[in-house]
Amino acid sequence: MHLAPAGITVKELIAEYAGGMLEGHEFYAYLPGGASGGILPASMGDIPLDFDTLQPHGCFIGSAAVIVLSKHDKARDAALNMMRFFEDESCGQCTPCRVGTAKAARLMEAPKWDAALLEELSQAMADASICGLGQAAPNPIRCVIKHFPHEV
Amino acid sequence: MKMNEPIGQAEVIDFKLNGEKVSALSGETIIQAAKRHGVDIPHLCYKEGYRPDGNCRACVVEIKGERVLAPSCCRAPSKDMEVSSVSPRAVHSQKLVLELLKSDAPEADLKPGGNELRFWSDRLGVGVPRFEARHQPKQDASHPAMWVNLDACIQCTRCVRACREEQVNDVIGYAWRGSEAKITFDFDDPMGESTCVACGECVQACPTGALAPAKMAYQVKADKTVDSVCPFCGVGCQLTYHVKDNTILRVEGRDGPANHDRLCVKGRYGFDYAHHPQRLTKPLIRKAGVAKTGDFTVDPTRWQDVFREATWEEALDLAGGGLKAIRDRDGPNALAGFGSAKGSNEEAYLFQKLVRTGFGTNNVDHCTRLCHASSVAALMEGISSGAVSNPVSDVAKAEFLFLIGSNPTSNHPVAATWIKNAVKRGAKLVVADPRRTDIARHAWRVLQFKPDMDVALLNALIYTILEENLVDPEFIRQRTTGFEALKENAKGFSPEAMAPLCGIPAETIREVARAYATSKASMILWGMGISQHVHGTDNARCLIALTLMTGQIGKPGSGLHPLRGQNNVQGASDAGLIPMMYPDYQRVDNPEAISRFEKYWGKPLDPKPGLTVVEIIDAACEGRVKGMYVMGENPAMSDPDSNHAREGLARLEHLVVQDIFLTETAYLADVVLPASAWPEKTGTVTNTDRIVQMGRRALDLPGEARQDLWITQQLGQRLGLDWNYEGPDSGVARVYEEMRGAMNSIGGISWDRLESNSAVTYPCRTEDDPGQPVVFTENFPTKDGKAKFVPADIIPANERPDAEYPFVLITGRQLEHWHTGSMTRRASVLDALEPRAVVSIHPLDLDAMGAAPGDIITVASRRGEVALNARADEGTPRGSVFIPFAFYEAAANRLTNPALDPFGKIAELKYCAVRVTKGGTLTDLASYGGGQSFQPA
Repeated sequence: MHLAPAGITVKELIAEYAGGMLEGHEFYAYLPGGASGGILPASMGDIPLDFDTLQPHGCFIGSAAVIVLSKHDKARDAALNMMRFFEDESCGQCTPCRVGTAKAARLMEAPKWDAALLEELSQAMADASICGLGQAAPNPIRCVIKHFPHEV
Repeated sequence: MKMNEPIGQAEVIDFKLNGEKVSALSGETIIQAAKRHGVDIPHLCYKEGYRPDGNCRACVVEIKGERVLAPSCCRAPSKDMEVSSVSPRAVHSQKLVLELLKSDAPEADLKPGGNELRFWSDRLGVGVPRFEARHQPKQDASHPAMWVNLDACIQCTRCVRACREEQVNDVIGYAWRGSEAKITFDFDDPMGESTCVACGECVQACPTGALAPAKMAYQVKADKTVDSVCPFCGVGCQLTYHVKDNTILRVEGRDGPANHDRLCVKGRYGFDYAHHPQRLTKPLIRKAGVAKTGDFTVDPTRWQDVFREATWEEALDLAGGGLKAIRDRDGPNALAGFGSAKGSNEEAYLFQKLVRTGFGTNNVDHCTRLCHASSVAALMEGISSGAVSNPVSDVAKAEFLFLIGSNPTSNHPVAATWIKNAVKRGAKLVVADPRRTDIARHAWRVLQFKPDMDVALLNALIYTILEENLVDPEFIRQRTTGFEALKENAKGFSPEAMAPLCGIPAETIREVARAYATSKASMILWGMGISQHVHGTDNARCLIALTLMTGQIGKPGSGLHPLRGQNNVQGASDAGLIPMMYPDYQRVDNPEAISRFEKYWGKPLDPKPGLTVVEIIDAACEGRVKGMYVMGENPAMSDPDSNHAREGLARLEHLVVQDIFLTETAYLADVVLPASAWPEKTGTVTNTDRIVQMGRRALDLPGEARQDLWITQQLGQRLGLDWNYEGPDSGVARVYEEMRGAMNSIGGISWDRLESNSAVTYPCRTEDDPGQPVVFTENFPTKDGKAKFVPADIIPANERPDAEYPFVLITGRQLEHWHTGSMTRRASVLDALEPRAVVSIHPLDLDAMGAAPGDIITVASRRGEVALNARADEGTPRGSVFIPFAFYEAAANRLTNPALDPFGKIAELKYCAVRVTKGGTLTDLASYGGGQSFQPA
């Protein structure tokens, strides 16, 4: 847990608060706001982390639980991990979240994603889920398709 | 009465739907308003009449200016809101939701023709789902009536709402979470092992067949559906028979005034008795030389031991000829007839007309005598009307409900649902009964008073209302007489003095009295716990006094309701199937009424009231009544002290029994006439709410069985009556119209009106009179328009426990079985659910005699004994046992006391002294019952 000023960038955060990347690791991607705040590539590591600064990129600060990935990681693995988390966390009340998270996780396990279908599913989950969990659950999918298309 | 019916429709809200300006009524949701304007929005979890839950999201719509889509089933439109149910964005989510659900659906359609997921998927053009299916759960076929196919479950929770909010049985829950979320029964038990009461409301609610009738009944397509009414209790639920090849496949609830689509286990799953192999299909004549004895063993499969088959001509000649011979030799009063509250109004009317004009006697009665005769005696005496003042559904308008001597979750299950709904809405329920039954868990106060102490308890309530000045002086002054006598009589009944007698603390009695008297609207509902005592009339007098002294009668949600037992006990009594009244309660000793009916029927009539049920049996024992015609009644099982009743029937010189099965009574007959089951005829019945309803023929008769109305007419002809009722279904419409001509109360209810409306409430004087559900609003139908207080004192039960017989026996019914079990024990599902006789006893009493649940117990009274298995029941008070009277093998009425209430002539079926001992020998199972007809598929 670190106390940092609002508006700090992830790069500053890594360097000034986390003691830099470990030996043999290179900054690759980051999740700016917990499981549902989206995933951004290192190339977008200079965006100030604050309320409303990430929205234009399809992300949000959320709980400000920042997760940093290195070149040894894959954004798609992180996204799948998040989706399994949402699948587990879904209360089971509404269809887009209850069934949507489960179906999304299965689709995301494929070596090659069916990006079109995942986007259709993401749209319905974001539009029709009852609460924020289901509405934000597709964020990792959409970010991977947008920023890490080479992975999927 | 629907749970989400729009409340008030004064305000109108204008909004835009799919570009068109439309208006919503106040309280309407978008989906409802859209539907009214001809726009169907897809939906699955939404069901009209249920609380919208908004979980399936198939009904989402786009609302201008909002970030996400909105469920149209939950959302009310606001002024100038712009809503689209057809925008690409809305349709995208609607279709994707359907596709997600479809991807997890089984390949087979488990509800052909009614699968709502398939319907909407097809309608929106959702093709083969592109998502991988889930791991499918296994089928649960543990219940005889319903199968649980969770592979078809879409988690819409309609079943949860059906179970918890509509029927309020609280069995189905929604457990776990995420994609593991599923419906569960109790603690995730198999349905058949859960506390499910098998009302089947969840099955009716399920949109996909995940909950379905057992044995794949949905897979067979019906040839026809027939709208009718349930043949069991007095609630009068409307239903639809689904029929193929002259066989009922299944039954569904219909939107009738008493049930609004709801049914219970009997109505929904108790229909196949009509197809039982033991149906009587040919007339039978007793073989020469086969003696009649009260002590016999019933085996309907071995009817040949006692009877031979005959032609209708021979059987009718013998039946009618025998009765005629006795009439001509010994006079009309040597004959008697028992009609039935299970038949139609037309059958009841014609039966009493046959006895009165063909036999020439008023010795005609039916099981109303053993049901609410004392309630009716008190009501006639106090307010000159034997029927209810308000329908059951009025509990929705009441603040306070006093339920006494009634076990509605077993005996009037659908009525109980309205009571439970009222409690959920905030009404206070008080349950007063020596047995703590299922409804008690919904009660604000439970008064588990000592058996037989009704008057002590009720007079203490009256005392409190007087002492604390909670009376309605204006009502008393303007609308009643005899209040001073009530006041004088009440003096000795303070709650403090009555508490030790009735076992209820004085402060509780006072609290209940205050709540009853001061609520804006209070209803009293009662059952046979009130009526079946030697002081039954007194019990009812006290209840009537309570309503009158507080003015809690004559307005919506405020009145009294004796819950009628049988499907047509109200109608049969109305039609004159009682020894002291012609149709419409015109007394047989009233010269005006005699002359009216002598003219109407063209026959001289006996001016003396006839004998009642128990009196007729006594007269048969003594040889005064020598011949009887019994239609659809089973006094050998239903009458008190049945050993005595069987002896009386055996002593008859000539007994004609008309029934659908070879009942215990039919065993003693000289001629048995094979009659029609309810779905095999058309006719009207009148429910506990005074609603006359139309039952329609759904099946052809088996073999040579005939409609009851035809049989009665044939006997009439052989007794010299010149009857001619032409038309379909044995001339039922003609009989009805003749009956209507004799009954002012239903003067406005023509046959045609019933054919088109299915249900009309009486009193209804003219064709344009909508009928009056709530009566006594202005005055009472007495001569002076006022009701009369009749005070009551404590009269002890006829037979109190003593050292030799230290227990109290309470008899009654259970949910699955009806009357003497002749129908329900042959209905495969009901029989499978309750296959054998049991005695309910408090676990501590069981323990005290060294017995465990399931052990054989012998219960003996001064009149007989039965052995049966013990069922531990903490709701049965210490020192008492409860036995249902439906089981031939352990017939409760072998034990009961025929002592009569002096006014209603009803027997004390709710109280007699018995000895209870461990051990005994069970009687062999009859050739039906015991789960024999239920074959797992």
